Amino acid sequence: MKITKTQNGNHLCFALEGRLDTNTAPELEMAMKGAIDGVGELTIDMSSLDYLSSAGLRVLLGAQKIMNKQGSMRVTHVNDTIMEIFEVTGFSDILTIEKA
Amino acid sequence: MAAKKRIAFLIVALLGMLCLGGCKKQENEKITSIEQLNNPAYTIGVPEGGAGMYMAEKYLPEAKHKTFSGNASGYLAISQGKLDGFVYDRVMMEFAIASGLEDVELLEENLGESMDVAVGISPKSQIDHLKDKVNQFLAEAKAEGTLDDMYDRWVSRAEGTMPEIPMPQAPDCKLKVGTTGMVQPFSYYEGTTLAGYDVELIYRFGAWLNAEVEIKIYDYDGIIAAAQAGDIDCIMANLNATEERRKHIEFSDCVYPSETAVMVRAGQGNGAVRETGFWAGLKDSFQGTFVEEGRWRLIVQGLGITILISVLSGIFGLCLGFGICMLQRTGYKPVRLAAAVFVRVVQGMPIVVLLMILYYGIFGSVDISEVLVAVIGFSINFGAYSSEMMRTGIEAVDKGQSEAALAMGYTRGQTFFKIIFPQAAGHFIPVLKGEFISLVKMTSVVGYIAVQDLTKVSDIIRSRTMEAFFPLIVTAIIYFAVANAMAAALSFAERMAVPKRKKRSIKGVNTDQSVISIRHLRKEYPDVTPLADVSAEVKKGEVISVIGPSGTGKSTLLRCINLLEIPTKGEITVDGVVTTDKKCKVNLVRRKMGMVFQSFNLFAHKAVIENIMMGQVDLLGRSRQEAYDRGMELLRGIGLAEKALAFPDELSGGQKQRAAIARAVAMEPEILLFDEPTSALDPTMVGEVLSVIRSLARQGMTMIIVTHEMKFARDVSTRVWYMDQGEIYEDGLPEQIFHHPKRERTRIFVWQLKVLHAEKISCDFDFPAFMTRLEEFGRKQQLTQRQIFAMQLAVEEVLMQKLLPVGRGTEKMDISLDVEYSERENLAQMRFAYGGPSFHPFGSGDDLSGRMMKGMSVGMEHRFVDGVNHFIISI
Repeated sequence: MKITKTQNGNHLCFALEGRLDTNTAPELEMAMKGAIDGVGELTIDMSSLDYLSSAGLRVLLGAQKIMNKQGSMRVTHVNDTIMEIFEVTGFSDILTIEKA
Repeated sequence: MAAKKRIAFLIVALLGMLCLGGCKKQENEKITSIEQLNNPAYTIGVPEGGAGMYMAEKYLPEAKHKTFSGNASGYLAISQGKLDGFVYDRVMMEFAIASGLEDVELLEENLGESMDVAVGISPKSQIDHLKDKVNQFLAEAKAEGTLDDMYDRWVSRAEGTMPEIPMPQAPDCKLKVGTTGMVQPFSYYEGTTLAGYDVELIYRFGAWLNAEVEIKIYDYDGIIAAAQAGDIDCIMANLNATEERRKHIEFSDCVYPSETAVMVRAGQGNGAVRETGFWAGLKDSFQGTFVEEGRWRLIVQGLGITILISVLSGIFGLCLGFGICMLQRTGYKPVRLAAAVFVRVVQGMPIVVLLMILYYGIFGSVDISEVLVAVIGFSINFGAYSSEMMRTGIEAVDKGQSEAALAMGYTRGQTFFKIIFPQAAGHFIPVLKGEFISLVKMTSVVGYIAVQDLTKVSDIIRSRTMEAFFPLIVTAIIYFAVANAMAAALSFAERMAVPKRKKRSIKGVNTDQSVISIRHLRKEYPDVTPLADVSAEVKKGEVISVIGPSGTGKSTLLRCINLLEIPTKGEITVDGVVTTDKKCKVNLVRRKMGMVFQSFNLFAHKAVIENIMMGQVDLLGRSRQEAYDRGMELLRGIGLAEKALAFPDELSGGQKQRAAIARAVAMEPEILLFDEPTSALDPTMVGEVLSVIRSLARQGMTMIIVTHEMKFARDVSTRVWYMDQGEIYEDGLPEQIFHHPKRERTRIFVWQLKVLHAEKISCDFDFPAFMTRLEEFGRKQQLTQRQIFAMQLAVEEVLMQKLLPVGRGTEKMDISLDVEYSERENLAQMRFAYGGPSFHPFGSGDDLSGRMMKGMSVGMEHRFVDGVNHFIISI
């Protein structure tokens, strides 16, 4: 998985490319750790993400919990397949999602 | 077990009676003179018709008289105290006492005057001037001292041995003499042979007359009648020539005078009362009745006669009964009436009377065996009774039964024998059984007509052993055993006759026997073994589809069954014939099997109808017309009548195959073998061929069809063989094979599964590489992105999130995964198998992985079988 981090003042964006699964979820978790401190607006761009498993969902859930205290978080460019994951897991109610 | 107990109880009861029989009645006042008995308070026994009876009537008119037909029963009565005196021939009573008759003694004075014993002469004897000849013989024998010598030997000295009397080599005539065989020393059985004064006299007279001698045994009360009827020429049976008897037959001159004495119960200390224990007494009785003089042989002979008469009378009686029953059902009233009268008359007549009428009346002047007369008598009796039972049984059958049969076109006769009578038999056989048993017991009266049956021989033995009770008990036990054995045999026959109790099979029809039976069939070629080990049965009417991947031996199996290929090993039985046997006539067996080939193989040089006619004419021997008619009938049935005269190459593939099927059917095979009948056809023609096969299946034709048409196989077969790797891998009903296959490879085949397999999955499993393989597999099967995604998700969530973390600390879980995709159902199944305790990966709660998989799959299933977890996710 490729993670591209873009910081624009108070706004931080992680663009994910490839697969967010058991193997790669720790990478995203590491990348976020410290980086989101003091961030007011977090965007996870999933336009190039092909695959998402429960391990990835847990990382997203952790980020959402932090952002609830200090600002907001959006998940953008979600494709149909990943959207279905969000829906069946109830994440679509927790996260702010923008479909592709 | 119960029967054994019952028999044991009965024997004990009989022995008890024996014991009681031995108990003495209260004694009367002691009798010391004849005059004392001439008093109504006393009962005296008198022998039927003899001198004793005559003397008792004359000299003891006041006493109560009781008549006995044999001396033995008189002795029994007196020793038991039922009589106060028994009047009889002195010599014989002396012999009885000497033979062991106990508790009795003879009064010293004689009763009345002495009386002549003489030879009774039949008025109907065929021998001219018999009386004169007897008298002449007696006169000569007296003059020579022979009679005195005989009397001295047999009677006075009681040294009974039969001298050698030469029998005439060229007899002038036949001499039939009646005697009793029951009075020692005159006429008695020593073992199984007759002996005594009278018997010697008979042989001496026979030799004197130069006649062939036949001796017949009668009771005293039957012997005069036998002579009267001409059954015997004369009587030599220690017979007193009483005035009463002289009215019926003539007598010779006196042979010797007899004296009449009176037997009374022995007084206290007077009789030699022998005290023996019960068992010792029983042993003595047994010894006397069976062992001494080989008397058991007599019993066996008697038993044989009893059984012979019973069985023959039973059989003939049944036939006669059936005949009478038929007569009673005729439309002709006089016949019906006559039959009814016959039945009434016989039923109203005591069997003894019937026997006497037959023996002394109807067959009186005919030389006929007594046993035969007995059989005739009992047959008539049994026939009368059984006809009534049959009639009742027939009337009990519902009228509708015969109407139904007549409506079907059965004649009246056929209706009766095929429909009515078998049902009636169910009604009357149980009753008939009881009647037959009573017939067996009734035969005990045949002693009246000189037949030595079981009862008669027991009398004979009693007359010798003076044993009052034991022979009777023995006889009772034997009758009991015989009646029971016959009842058991009849019950067996009954079970055989009642259709519902019979083994349920249809006569003359192959209901459960296999048409084809294959045992461990193997076919090898140098480089390949298409059949490894095949065992199977094909029953009549079965339609078996053989399915399976190419090259698994399906066609080879068919070709081995019909011996187009010679099996390497194993045995094939077709319709009971072992075809793999070298001596088997292969051509004949093949005629029982029709074969339809993939490439039709119609004879190219013959028109369609000739293709169908040839085999019928050449091999079945039908006429050309018959073959043509049958061929056209078949062609019409498959819609090819118009093409009868076409040549094979003028037909379409479908038409050719239909014609080929007609050719096979025309040979009336027991079974049809189809080797991929539609594989060479254009898809548009498959339907027409399958519909012909379908209609054969409906007609009940036994078939084995190798096919790739799964829907057809599922719809038309009664059974499916899935063949794989040279064996019948799974054999089951179509429902099982196509919807719930039990075995792995069957499922893969019938569901057209594509499979991805991974095993020995552990922590160091190359997860990314497998994900890639899974994606490639999905793309190859043209799965949607969503399906591939869900499959990958399933693998990751189950393995990475659940099984591997759980199994990390424990022993090997031995995880394997099969990913199967069924094109037909468009369904992917992820089949996980793993060891350890029963564990449902998503069973513990509503966690994230579980929710995810529930949402992404169409179903999840966990089973724990034989220590292995099976977890299946369907996508």
